[in-house]
Amino acid sequence: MKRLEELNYYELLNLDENADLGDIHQAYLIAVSTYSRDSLASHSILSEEEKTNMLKRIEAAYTTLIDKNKRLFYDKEVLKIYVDENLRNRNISEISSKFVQHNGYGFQSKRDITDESDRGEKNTFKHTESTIFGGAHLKNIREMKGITIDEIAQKTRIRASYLKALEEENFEQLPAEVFSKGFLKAYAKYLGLDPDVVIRNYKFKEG
Amino acid sequence: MSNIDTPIIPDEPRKQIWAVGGGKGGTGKTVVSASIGILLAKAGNRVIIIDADLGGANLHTCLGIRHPSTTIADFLLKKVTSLDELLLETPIKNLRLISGANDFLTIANIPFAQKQKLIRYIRNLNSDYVILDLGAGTSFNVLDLFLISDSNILVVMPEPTSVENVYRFIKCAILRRLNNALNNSRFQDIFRLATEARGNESVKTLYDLLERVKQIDSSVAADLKKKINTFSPKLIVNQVRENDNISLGSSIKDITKKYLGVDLDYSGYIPYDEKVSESIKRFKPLVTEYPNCSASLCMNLTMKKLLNGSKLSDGQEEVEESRNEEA
Repeated sequence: MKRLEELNYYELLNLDENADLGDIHQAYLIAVSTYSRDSLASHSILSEEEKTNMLKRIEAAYTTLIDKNKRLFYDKEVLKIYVDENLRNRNISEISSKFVQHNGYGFQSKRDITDESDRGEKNTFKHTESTIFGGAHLKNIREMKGITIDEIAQKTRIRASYLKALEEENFEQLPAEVFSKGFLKAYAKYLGLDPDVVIRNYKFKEG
Repeated sequence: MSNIDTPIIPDEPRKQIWAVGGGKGGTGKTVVSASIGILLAKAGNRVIIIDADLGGANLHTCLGIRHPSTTIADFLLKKVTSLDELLLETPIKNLRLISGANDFLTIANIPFAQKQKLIRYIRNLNSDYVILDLGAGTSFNVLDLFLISDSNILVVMPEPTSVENVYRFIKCAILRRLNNALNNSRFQDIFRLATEARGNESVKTLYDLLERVKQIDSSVAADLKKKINTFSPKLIVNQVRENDNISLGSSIKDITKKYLGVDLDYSGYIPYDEKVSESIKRFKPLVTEYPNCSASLCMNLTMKKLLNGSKLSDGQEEVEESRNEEA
């Protein structure tokens, strides 16, 4: 157990030292929503002042960790640790274009945050699912029921690659939303879920 | 319980006691308890589920039993001599119920000796799993039943009142756990300060408490630290209505770790589902009546996480084992 003031940037965001940019961004979004002014999770336990202070520290941690040079300096000079750069560079090109320009300032309430990231399997947050019936969750349900993608593809006559793309929320691989919605409906129905509930909660890109 | 050295090869896996609490009433503790019991029983385990919501019992209803013939009150009033006599068969194979349906109103305030006796008998029940469905509030009776368990499950719902109560519950539970372990009047003042702390008092966090104890006796402080590190309740967010609510579990975990010093395990979320109240109105258990509804499916997923955790950690009061950090 550590005193709050002693937490380093990684501990503050619940990250491990090999975290990649995707991990950092996701952890940051969760942290901001945890300590934002209208956050439900901090109700009754934290004062306005505590939340403001924590948000400042989260901002400092994020801007340092998201910047390669600042992070290297922090690791070396402040924490005195050496981390294999290769471990951090997974997906870097894929993610950086999406996130890095975002300087993170100006988040006042949770509603200002739209979480688009669902990657990072080694993320220290185990709950990477961000929607009630997001792709990851649907996949979990399918696997729990012992149903394969191929089986659904056969029965619904929807291409397996589309079903897979739905689970991975890989929207580039999917046809127009109106068609994808149809696929999702059939997929949900096959799993025994209420298709309308799933459609309502699944977040199609920009949806 | 004996003091003889533990055998090298244990006879059989020890019984697991799981308690479901969380402070506030109406969050779904009873439905969660019933679902856990049914899912464990369906997986082939012998399960006894106890309605420990003394004074507000209704677990029997969730299991489809309208009028339980015996209840825990019979034990407390000494009408029966052991808990075994109270076991009621349920519609589910392998699952038996000890009902808490209350027939005398003061039952919620059972005295210390009776509570100790109840705990002793619960520990001696012959079963693979014992599930305790706890009542609301943070009375010592509720906390002590929570703390004798191997797996401490907290149910919270996305409402300010429930969130507020779950923090209070965690704080009361950890202080009670430390106080039980300590049992030494030298430290009572420090505990009193910690219990009463509301603002910027000297003993606001567990860290402060440990520091104060350390000033008096560092080995006691080390023991307490171990007690804190081996306490890892499992959090279930129930009645999730919006996507925002899912990260509530991660956020509560984060705040609890940073500000209360307790490391929770976020075990899963269960969406709000009309089928829950429908099943209750029909006097049928949710997970057998609507096995494919979203609440049941998520209950199954949550169950998998609960089982993964419980095999690796052991939180029972006397037993100390290192906690598996991120299983």
